[in-house]
Amino acid sequence: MGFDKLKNLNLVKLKARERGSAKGGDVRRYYVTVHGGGDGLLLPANAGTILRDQAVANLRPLRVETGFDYAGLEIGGESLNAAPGLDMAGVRARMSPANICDTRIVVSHQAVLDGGTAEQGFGLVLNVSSGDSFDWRGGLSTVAADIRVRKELAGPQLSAVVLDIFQELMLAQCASIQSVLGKFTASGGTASDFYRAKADFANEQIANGNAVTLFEGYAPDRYASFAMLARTDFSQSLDRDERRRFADLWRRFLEARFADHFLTVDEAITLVRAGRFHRARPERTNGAGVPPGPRQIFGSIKEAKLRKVLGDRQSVLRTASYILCVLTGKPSIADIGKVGALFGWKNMARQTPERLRLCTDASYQQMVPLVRRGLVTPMRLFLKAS
Amino acid sequence: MSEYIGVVDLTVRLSSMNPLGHIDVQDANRRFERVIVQSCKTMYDDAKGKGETATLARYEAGGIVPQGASEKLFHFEEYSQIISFARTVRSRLIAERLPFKICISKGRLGSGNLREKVADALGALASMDSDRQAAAEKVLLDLFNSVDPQEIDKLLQLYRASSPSESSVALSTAMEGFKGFGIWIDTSLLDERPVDLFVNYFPVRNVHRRLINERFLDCPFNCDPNDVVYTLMGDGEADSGARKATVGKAQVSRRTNVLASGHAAMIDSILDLLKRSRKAGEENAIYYVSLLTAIVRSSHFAKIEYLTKSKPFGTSRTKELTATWQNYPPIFQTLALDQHNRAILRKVPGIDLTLAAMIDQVHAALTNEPASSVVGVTRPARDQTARDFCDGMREHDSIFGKIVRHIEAHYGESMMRRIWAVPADVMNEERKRAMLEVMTDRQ
Repeated sequence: MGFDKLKNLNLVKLKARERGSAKGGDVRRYYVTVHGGGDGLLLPANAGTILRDQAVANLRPLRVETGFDYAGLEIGGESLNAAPGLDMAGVRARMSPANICDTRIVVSHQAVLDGGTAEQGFGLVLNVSSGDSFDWRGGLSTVAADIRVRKELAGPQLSAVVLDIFQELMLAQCASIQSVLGKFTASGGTASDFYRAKADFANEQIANGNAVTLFEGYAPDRYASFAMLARTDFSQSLDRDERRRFADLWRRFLEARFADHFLTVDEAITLVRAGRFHRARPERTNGAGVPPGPRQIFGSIKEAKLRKVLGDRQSVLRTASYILCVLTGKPSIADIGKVGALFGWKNMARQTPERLRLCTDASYQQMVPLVRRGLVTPMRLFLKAS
Repeated sequence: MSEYIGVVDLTVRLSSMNPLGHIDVQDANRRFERVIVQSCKTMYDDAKGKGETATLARYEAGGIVPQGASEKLFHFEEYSQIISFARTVRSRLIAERLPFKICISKGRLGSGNLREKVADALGALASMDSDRQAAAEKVLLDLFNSVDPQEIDKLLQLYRASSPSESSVALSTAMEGFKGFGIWIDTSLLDERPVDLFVNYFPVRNVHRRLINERFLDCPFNCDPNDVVYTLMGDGEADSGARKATVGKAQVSRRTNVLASGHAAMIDSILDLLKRSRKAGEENAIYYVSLLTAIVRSSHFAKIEYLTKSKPFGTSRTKELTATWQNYPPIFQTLALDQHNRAILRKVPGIDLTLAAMIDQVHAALTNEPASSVVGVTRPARDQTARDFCDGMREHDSIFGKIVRHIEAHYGESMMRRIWAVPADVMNEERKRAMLEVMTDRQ
């Protein structure tokens, strides 16, 4: 038969689980939950596993439908005691030092004060607290955004906000977006510039009517969450439209603001061959496409072939976002015709299809059923026109 | 003015209640101490935030946890304060996954150590009143076998332990008798604010290995009406015609929404402890029954429904609720829907108390009446409309009937007989009758 090459696909599996290993960089994202007296915390310290499972459940179909990947994070919480007038310096003093640089969210009954103190070394701090309205306000010196949820709706609103922030983070940690941001920081950009650009873009989208927000008052200044803009209600799962909007916001944001840092052909080849991506696999996924587990390196893809596809000026017409589809599964006899029609034939007589195809967002839609069944692994690439 | 005292201890020290091999006792003690210290701080800061200077002064003068090397004794002047402290400690210890018990009653802790206690007697020795002198001598002889002040001083240098008062001795005894996790409240507190409290039972084996139910008062967790779980339809493959035929109903992916701020994370911790305890010994799971019941009693069952076909979710055009149980509290998922948990819980002795509490709670929520476990509420005689409504509950497709039949189907008929036999303040007679009618009324 003609599948010898497909059989020999030797995908390098990571020995160590990506989560929890030092290899994946800073893999733990912490939230701090402040205990304001009385019974229970606003967000229990161990709610992280539930949040992560839900975020992954939302991002797995997003991987299939849009080609964006995600990085599975381990999310953990630390609980603090509230004191009247707790400020960021106080939060910092009470946290274990190892978690400070990873801290993203502070959840508390009252807003944590941010008395204009100097940089506290946190990665990003968003303060979620319960109040009388559902508002998103710009933060002060250390806190990037101050988010209020309604006391009576604290349950749904709070978990939606927190979930969105982690979802956003998991999506942004994917290899494709990180490659662009890596170039951005290498050229002197800072995380703070990036967050500001994002908030700016979000404001612009709302002003143009391209996005709507559920917040009663929405004034992001130094941080905006695209996941929060994509959602239409406070349910924890995103439906197809919401996922599409979520991915679309990210795509348009990067195209509008970071086109200068998109990848050249050489950089894209390195990313494809050395970057980690979730492989779409049919087994155990019940039709969801992407199995739980670590991301893989697709090092076996030949450089020359990649160069041929990514350097093709007829497909990379402009500096934009593309999706590289890699045939990683073994198509059945019934499927081979469709696969060949989409990928093109290497040897039609022996029924051997090509393995690579670069799609745009529009043409990727044909690939979705194949991705769902684990035959094709998509990789989102932000490419510069050569 | 009466004072309130309480005691909290880890059960990991008691070999019979220890989830063996799971908890390192050294580490557990350190974390336990941290939780207590932080809870004290929470109480202090809370009072400070409210500007209660009198309370602050009392905390500073008498402390919150004045005694206890292993078991911590605490005291408060006000009922609301001691309940708040106990609930704070409870939620934090559950989050730390440390099994514990807390007992609360009225009383005083007694002052300090033996030295302060005998100070009066020592003073009386020098008094002119021969009666008082004789009485003091009797006390001192009894304790120290001497009336020589120097000898007594020497002995008090050697023996410095804090001495218990009558009520703290009673409290320690109560804690010894309480075989469950959570909060045990003495019935003497019933006349204070009974609205908060409810009757709970913990199952225990008597000397003949028979299962008996011990009654006690418990206080509920926070109850958030929004803390409900719903299942949305997965979108499957709506836009790919080729695969549509093969994507059967079974392949529709379900996503369960679990609110992180509700009971879900707490139940997760408790079940984790329960499973580990069971590994150490099948019987150990018995101690978790009262805690599970407390969660059932703090859950919101009024929104629960069973959909026979999917329906739109809220005002959303694309999201659909799956045809199954919807809007149930997380504990219902644990007890009734999750088959892995069900398989474990079925074997827990005394779990009938928790299931009965759930049926009771559902009935109470649907009829808008108080639960059987509420104390201090006299039930008014039913008028005809209320009775008609209850008759409606017995109909075949009522949600109450569905739940009873669901539990019967998954826990078996013998479990229903055990549920039938629970005490009346777990489930009252009327609800038992309603349950029986549902079960016999098979169509």
